Amino acid sequence: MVVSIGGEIDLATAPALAETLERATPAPGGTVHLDVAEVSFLDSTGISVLVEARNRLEDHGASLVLHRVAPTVQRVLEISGLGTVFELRPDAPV
Amino acid sequence: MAEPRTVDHTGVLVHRVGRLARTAAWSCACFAWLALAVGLAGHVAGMPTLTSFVPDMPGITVATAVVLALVGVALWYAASLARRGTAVSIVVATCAAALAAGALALDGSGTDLGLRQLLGDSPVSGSETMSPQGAIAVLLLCGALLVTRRWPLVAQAFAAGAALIAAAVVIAVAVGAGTFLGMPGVPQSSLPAALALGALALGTIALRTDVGVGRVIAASTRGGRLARRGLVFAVVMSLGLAAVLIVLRERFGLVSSDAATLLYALGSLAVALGLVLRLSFWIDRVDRARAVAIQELVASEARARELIEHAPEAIVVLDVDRGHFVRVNQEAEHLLGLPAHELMRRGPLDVSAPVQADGRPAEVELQEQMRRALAGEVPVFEWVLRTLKGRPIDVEVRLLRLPDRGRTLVRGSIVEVAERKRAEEALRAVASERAARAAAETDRDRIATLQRITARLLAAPSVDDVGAAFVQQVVPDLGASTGLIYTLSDGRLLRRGSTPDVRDPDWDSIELDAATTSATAARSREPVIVTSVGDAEQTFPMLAGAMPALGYVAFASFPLFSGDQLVGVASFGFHEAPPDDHWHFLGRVADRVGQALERARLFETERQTRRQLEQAAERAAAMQRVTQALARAVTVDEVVDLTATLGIEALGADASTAGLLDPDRDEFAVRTYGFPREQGPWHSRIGTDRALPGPATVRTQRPLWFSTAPDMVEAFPETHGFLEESGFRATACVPLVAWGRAVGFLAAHYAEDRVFTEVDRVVFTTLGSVSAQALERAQRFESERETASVLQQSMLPAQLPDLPNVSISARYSSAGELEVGGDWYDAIALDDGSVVVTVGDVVGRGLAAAAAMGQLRSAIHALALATTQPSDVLATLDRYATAVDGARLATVAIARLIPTTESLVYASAGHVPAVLVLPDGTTRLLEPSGSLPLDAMPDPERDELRVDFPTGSTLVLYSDGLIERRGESLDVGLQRLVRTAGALHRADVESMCEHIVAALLPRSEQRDDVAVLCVRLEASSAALRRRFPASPSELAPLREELRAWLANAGLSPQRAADLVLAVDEACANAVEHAYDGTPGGEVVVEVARRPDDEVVARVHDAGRWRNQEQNPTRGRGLGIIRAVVDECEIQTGATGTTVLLKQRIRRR
Repeated sequence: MVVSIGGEIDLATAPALAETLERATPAPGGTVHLDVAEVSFLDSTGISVLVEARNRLEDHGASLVLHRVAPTVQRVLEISGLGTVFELRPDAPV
Repeated sequence: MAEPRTVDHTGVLVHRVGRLARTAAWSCACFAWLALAVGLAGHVAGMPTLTSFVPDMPGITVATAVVLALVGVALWYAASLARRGTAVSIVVATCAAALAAGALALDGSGTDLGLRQLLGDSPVSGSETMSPQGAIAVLLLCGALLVTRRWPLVAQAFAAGAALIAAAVVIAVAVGAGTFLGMPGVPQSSLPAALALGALALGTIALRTDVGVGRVIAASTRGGRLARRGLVFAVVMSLGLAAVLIVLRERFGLVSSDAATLLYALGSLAVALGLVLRLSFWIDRVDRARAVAIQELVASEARARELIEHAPEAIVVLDVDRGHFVRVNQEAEHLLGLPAHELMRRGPLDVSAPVQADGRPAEVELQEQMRRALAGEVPVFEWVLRTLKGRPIDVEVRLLRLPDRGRTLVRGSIVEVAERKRAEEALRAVASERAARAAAETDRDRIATLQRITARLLAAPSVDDVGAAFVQQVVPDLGASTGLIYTLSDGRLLRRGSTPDVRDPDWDSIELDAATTSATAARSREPVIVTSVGDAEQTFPMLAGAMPALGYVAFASFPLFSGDQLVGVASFGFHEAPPDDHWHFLGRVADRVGQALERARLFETERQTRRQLEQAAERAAAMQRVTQALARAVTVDEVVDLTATLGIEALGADASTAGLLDPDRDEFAVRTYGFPREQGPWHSRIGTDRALPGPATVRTQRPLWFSTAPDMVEAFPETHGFLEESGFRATACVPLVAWGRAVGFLAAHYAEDRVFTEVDRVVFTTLGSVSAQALERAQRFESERETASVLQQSMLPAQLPDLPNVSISARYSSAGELEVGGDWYDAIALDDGSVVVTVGDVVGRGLAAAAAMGQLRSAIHALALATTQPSDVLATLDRYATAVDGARLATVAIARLIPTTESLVYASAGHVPAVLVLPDGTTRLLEPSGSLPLDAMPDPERDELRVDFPTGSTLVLYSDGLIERRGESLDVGLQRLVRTAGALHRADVESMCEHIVAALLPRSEQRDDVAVLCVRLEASSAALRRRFPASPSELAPLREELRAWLANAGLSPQRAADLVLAVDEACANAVEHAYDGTPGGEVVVEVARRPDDEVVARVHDAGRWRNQEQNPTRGRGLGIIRAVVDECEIQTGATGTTVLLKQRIRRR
């Protein structure tokens, strides 16, 4: 399944993201494709939401894939040491 | 004892006449007024019956009545003059009486008042004259009254005549006879007047007999009152009666005309009786006076008899006509050996020897002597008496005719010749006694003179006064024409006073060996008396030459002693030779003069001593003032000025010169005081080697005293010009020596010659040393002050921290040149962007204070860097201060300004309240409670105040010198500061500081050092400041703003984005955790570009810091922050958490 988000993910918007991601519960073995092309800012709060979502999906045997990560976002992920935790794809989810 | 009184008959007559005249006049006036009043009343009321008083009423004119009444009053007054008892008053009174009588009889307009009826013939007539009978009766009565005393019989006869006429009238009326005694037609209406006249006459007669009514009445004092009351009663009765009659008759027709007349007559009689009573009383008083006079006369006669009776000589009184003695005294009884009653039966021949000593018969001799006596001579002759027993007695007789009425009396005074001889001897004895008494009187005079002189000399307090007393009192009292007084002094006689005739200056001073009486008297200690030129020629040639020229007949010099000691000489010249015994008296006077001289000398000495003591006390007081003033003087200039002005004043000098040693240049810096204005200082500097009193006194370290100008010129010729120009005469010069080292000199100048007393010398020398010590102290003080000043300047911060958003300005103002204080200020920038500012004040001044100040300031500086909270700084400082000398009770104010939170933390150790000026100009005083100075008590509580300090706020710290003003409370100064600071809220801190100092610290007012520091939180345009509620939704706008600001900050986009990320992380952390959900929390973000190419961001919250390392999310956030910025620092504390982020700008 594909979820597209945009804007700035910070303390104010992270809860909405978390809620959205919680509703996206694919069948085991499925994948959630999160398109973050429109996300211009992401801080540690947003990262935490993403990390929590990934962990929950993993627990269900599913997986989270980030599509079209902007450089700023990618830098935050890398700084946080999460650059390898998430599967990043440059293309748009299908 | 009353004197024997002669009865002055004339006086009594005058008295009586006056009284009678008054009475008559009074009566006339009364009748006239009565008639007038009644007549007018009747006329007005239309009651013709009243004409029984005034029958011709219609004819009377008011004018006449008035004239009549006035005449009565005038007579009354004229009669009163008779009281005076002079001849003139008799005439006046007599005239008055006559006029009164005439007035009564006046008939011109028909106002006869009944008299005419009495005296005339027609009841109604307009122009009749007084009848002869009436006139005679009145005149008789007047005469009787006038002569009543002198010729009682005549008076009684006159009165009887008047009474007869009156009686005739009464009878005529009574019997209705038309003619009686030649009085045709006496009308009934004349009855009252007749009765009155008769009563008056009878009263007069009665008075002349000793059984008179008046006598009885006047026998008691009550009688007089009774008489007066009787008179008043009679008058009232008669008037009342008349009024009743008139009313009865006129209104009711009840009373017949006859009855009315009768009643009126009775009234008139009553009046007359009253008058008589009154009169009799007056007369009786005169009688009593006469009785007293007679008693006196009798008493005086008795005394005269006593005199005769007890006279020492024998006295007999002979009635020449009867030929026997009528009075003899005891002595006569004794002499003649016969009792008085026996003698009284005898004559002179019965007691005389028939043949007298000269052989002539006694009878012939006696007749001759008697004739002489009766002719008015006082014959004195020898006589031989013979006693009854035949014993002859030789006597001397003196005859004198005695005045007596009716008898011829001769008094004989008989003195026994033997007695007389004894008496003559006695007289001689008396004469010699008198001579003795005269001598005694001379002595008495001399005693009085001596007393007078002594009194005058006692009043002479000084030797000069004694001299004056000698000239003015002693010399004239002693009958001398010339006098000189000398005192002995240094072997010479000095003149202390002399009469004006010997003013020759040659006599001012006499050597003891001179050939003068004075010197001789002094040498010999004996009086020298010269009573003739011959006496003088040998020994005193000068005096011998002068005596005839000056008219002296005698000259004397007396040595003057006090005890045994010769104190002087007094000399006297006489134009008239004094009696021989006068010299002895002069000697006694000289004793007194000598004592007076000595006393005056002692007195002068005592007074001089006292004056010196007083002077010394004055000097001491003045010196004390000088010393006190010098104790307050701190500069060399002050000391020199005070010494030269106050000190010289204490010495009574006119001007002074002070020289201050300048050791570097071997010179004295000279100043002058009290010199005439046009004369400038002669030298401003003089070398230490000059031959002048100042340098000389310093070189020798000895004072110099010049009582006169020549003295000084002689010692220091160079001073000649100075003295010439300044006119000073005496000069004293002392070195100023402190601790054995001369620091200068002081000279006092006097316009007059002056003998320097011991007191002068002591005071001046003391002044020098006191002044020198003060100078020494001042010099040390000045050098210390210089050191302290340098120290202080070096200890104040050379430069205040330069911060982007905090401006600081400070001023330090030293209290003039006087002293250095212990005030300080300091500002310390901390790494967290906050600034600690402090102002403090160490107790005291000078070097020690400056040192303590330096230590405290350093300590605060160090503590502020280590401890961010001001109260902690103070707490540590408290402990530190106990170990710093001079830090005790120092006051400190410390404030930490935290720009990120726009707040201020303030703590104070007993310091004056800081002034907080908010951006709108409102002010607030910061005054934490329980604020004590340092080291005031062990470990005090140090509270701190936390206040909002919005951008644009200013804090003013200062030391108390700023608000202190002489004579003003600190509150007033504080209010002034608050007003000034509040008004300056728009000015930049630099000018604010400047203005505060200028406004509150007028130069003349400054007493203390003053430190002022102003610190303001600036709204810096170069910095981004955001303050927002701790809410997540605030973060996005913040980032937006921050990105925009950073776009021009010089950071690369990547690094800028990193910084935004880091700030976001820090803010999120604060929002999420700092306040634990407590609403109202705020976060402050501040980003600024530092001059040293760095962008600094601060994120501050006032909440608690939570270590979030363990929280995966937050831990991640922190990691991110650390990864994206060059520096990150987290400061935590009681005031909250500050995250400081720094991103360097890298040059490309």
